[in-house]
Amino acid sequence: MSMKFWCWITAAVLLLIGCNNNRSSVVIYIAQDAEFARPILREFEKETGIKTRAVFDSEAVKTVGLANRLLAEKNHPQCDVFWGNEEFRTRQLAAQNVFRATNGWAAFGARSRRVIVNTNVMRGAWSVTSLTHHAPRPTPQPIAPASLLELTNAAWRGKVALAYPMFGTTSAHFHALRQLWGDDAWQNWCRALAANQPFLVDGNSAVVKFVARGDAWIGLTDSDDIAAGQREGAPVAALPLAAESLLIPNTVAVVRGAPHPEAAQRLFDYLQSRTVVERLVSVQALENISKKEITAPVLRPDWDALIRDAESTTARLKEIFLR
Amino acid sequence: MNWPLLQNSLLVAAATTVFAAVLGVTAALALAGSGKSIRHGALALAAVALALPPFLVTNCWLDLLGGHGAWREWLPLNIFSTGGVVWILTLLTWPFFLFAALGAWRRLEPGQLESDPALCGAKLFRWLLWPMARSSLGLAGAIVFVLALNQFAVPAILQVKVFPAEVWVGFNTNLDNLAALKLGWPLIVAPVLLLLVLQHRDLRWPRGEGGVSAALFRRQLGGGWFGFSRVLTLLALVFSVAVPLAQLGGSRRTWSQLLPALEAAWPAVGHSFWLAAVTATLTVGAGIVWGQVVRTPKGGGTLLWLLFFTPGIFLGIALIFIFNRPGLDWFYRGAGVMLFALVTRYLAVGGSGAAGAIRRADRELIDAALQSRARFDVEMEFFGSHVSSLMGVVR
Repeated sequence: MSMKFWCWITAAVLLLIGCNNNRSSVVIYIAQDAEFARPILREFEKETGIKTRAVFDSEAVKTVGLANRLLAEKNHPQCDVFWGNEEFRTRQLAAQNVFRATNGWAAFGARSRRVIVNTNVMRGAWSVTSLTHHAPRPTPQPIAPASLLELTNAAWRGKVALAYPMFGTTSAHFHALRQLWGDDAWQNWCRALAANQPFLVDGNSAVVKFVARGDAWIGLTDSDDIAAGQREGAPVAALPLAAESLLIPNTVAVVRGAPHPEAAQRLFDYLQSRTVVERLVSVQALENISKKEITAPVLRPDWDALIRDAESTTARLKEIFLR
Repeated sequence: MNWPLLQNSLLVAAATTVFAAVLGVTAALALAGSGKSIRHGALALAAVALALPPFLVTNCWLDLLGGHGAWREWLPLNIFSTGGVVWILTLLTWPFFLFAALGAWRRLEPGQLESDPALCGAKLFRWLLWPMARSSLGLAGAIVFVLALNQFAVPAILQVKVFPAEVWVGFNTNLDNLAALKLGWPLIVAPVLLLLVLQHRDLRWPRGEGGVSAALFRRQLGGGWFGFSRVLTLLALVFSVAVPLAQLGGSRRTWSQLLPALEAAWPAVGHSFWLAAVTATLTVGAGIVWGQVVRTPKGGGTLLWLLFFTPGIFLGIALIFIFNRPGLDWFYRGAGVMLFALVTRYLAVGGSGAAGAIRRADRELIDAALQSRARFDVEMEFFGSHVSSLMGVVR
């Protein structure tokens, strides 16, 4: 074999092995969008000299891929810090002892679940279409539903879009609504909603697209997806927060048995800092600095009970929406 | 077990396979009778059709045929239907049949066409082309069927409930891999059954030139058949490539966001290209080794195809279980495990073609060349035409 051949083999082996067990580095699994997270990690590296190795979720499997990876690696953790974008998932992982026992995870900032409407279809009903942080809130008009309960009205038949209620933040929202209304009322509402032929899509950004295109007039989605749609010029507006709105903070957690605990702690603290949260708010990845800022009467779920009932709630949702 | 959803999935998968087969085989007829430049151009466009993200194509057709679609007034078809799903999946998968048929027909010899002038038109297809391509088309059919069976995003957007949604609930909401695996058994059993039916079949990807000239093929096929197949191929390329790309390129948003998006995701873009290139090279390399070691198509092939057909998340979790161990950190923490996963996943597609090329090679010629100390150069020259096309497919 020639010298060139062996050089290639050596280079390939070095590449495959990698050299990533550096003390001044930290491995982070990130459910937040890469475009928002990367600049923050760069700032962290500049400030601390700690190198970050980020693993983002993929469009295909979303946060569930990272969550399942954390679980699969539980016995021999590779990840130091998990940056989540939905509290429900983080609490599920915490319940499975994925995070360290003391000060395992924390929530920061908040976005929300909102009802959106197409401003072209509902012309005249909306004068304000922006969901930027400091913009005035749109004023509800009679034509828009005042409550999620109204989504089952015949007027909205085939005109409502939402992500599959078994997945993501929509799932957490439906779980919380069950707690709010009680099982019977919730099941009746779910059945009536399913019978009203809503568009069930595979994600919250798809909800915004459906409403923007006019296929649906009303949607139930996340505030950051609405903001992204508005930045792209989509004719959509969000209804104000209501008693049925759910707040969704970002979360940061240190993994139990993290390979780089000191660096993990520094990143854990850094991500919760006001500078970072303000930055996320400024790019509309988050809506508010903290849940405490929000005075509107939104859903305040009993999370322990929610996690406890998760399996039975999911079973009901499957039965109703996956037939 | 949610039987209605499984029935939906089977219906979507079967219909997609049938329509994609018709479109792909017809396109293969057109390209086999076309000149080199047209053939290569069309093959490149067909590869683009395979590479387009499903959500992009789906959103494009929603903009055209959705409730407020641009074509809706004069083409009142309901895209939110099983038919709509089959239409989109057909546009995404027909090139598999094109590559399979064209690859098989490259083995045609002029004598086979010239010996019997009456063997033309439908008879040519019935008695010569179909038997030659049947095996490869069967494998292409299996690939398309399983890809359509596992598809969740396109049916979800188009409001068709399918079985993979049921499996995703296990992963997503309950975070229970074992339960999801148990629930998802039909997604594993279906490809296993297909593989049992199709075992010992060898995949042949199209290569440079066949033995029969385009003019001879066209003459035997007949003007009517050739004209029809050309029109259908043109329509297939227009609908599966030109329309989505034109819509993407025609949007102001695409151009206003392209640079910021590239800037934000530049490291990821670089990684994607790097991983794709290395995976393609390793996959074809492994296929060459496999072809030299295993002399018959049946050797290990079924297992590799099973790894390709199994939903990726199952494979990922299995690899974590195998490699995430204290003694293997040097491998697990580097790029090695990622490349291993990708090569394992795609070895059936890329590797089996390379292995087939090796098996069909003239051993005496290779041995003679190897003895003349030109081993590396000879191998590269001999397999170059196969390997270059395979690497494109794997990428």
